[in-house]
Amino acid sequence: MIARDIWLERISLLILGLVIVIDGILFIYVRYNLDSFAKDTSLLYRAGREGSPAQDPIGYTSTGAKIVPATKGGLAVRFASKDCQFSRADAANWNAISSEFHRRGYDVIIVVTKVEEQYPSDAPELKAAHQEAYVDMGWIERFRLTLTPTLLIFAPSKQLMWAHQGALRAEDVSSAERAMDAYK
Amino acid sequence: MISIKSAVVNSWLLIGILTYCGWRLYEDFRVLRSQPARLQAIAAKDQDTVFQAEAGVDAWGHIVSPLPKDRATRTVVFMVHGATASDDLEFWNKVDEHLAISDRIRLVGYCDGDKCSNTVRLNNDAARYPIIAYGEISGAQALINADSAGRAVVRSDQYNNPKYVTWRDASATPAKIASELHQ
Repeated sequence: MIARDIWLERISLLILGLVIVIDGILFIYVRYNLDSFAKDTSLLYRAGREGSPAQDPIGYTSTGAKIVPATKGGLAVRFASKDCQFSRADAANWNAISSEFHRRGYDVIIVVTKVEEQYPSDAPELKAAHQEAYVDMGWIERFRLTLTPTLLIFAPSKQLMWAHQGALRAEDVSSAERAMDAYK
Repeated sequence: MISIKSAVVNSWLLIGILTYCGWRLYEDFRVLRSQPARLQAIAAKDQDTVFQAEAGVDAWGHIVSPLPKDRATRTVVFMVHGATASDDLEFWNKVDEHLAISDRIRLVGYCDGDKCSNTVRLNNDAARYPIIAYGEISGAQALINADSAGRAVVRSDQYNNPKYVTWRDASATPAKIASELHQ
């Protein structure tokens, strides 16, 4: 009886060890690849639109004021919404990178998912940024929004040069800065 | 003896929890392991997007808002392609002719880009209904996904989820679509 229990215990521990190892390998794989998934710009284009230079995301505020991005310099577009917990969670990193865009002369546009999700005009997220409630349909057709927040950075040539899906971390801010540095 | 038994029970409890976690991780692994798998997962997520309300700005810069509940019971939302703008607009003009006023069905088109917007702008009478050229991201994306399957979205405050009519199909005629909308 004791021998059987000991055997059962050893088998259980062996299986437990095996499951821990498999989970560990899967966790490391997923953790590593989630980062590349978040930065995979090809996932942002709709089928047939891959790699094509973007037109400007001309749009309107909810009150009907037209927003036309500056034709010179780079452009950053952030999909976000006031009530999205992830958009709120990365507010500090967004404010940091937003200041960086401003310093480099990039135009910044926040595109909200729907009018009810707009930020109030005095929100810190809108410091040095325009907020669009309605966006050019041609632009929407080109880029797919899967989750908020998502940040797209366009070079002055209108080519998408850096993107990140999901809340921004401090290392993403550095990565975006490096991408902008590399473009100079 | 008791400690061995409890160790075995605890081990299997942990195995159960870790197997569940492992399964969730495996599902993520399946999505992340290749580019086609990633695109497939995103395309599947696209189909979850639900059209909620027609809202936007038309080609002339005027805001188009959802009608109040007492004015329209249903709204049919469809995409107008630049390449076939005149035909698309005409198709829906004919659908509009077939719809009885008492049906209180509102038609709203969305342009797919500049070419369509220019067609609408150049011909004031091209459409008997509003055409949105600048849309809300969430609604527009749901419509783009529906249109890729040849469908228009039928939205109503009485529906939990939108319904669809397939109109980009050789067998679809304005009369047939109007008749489907009557139902």
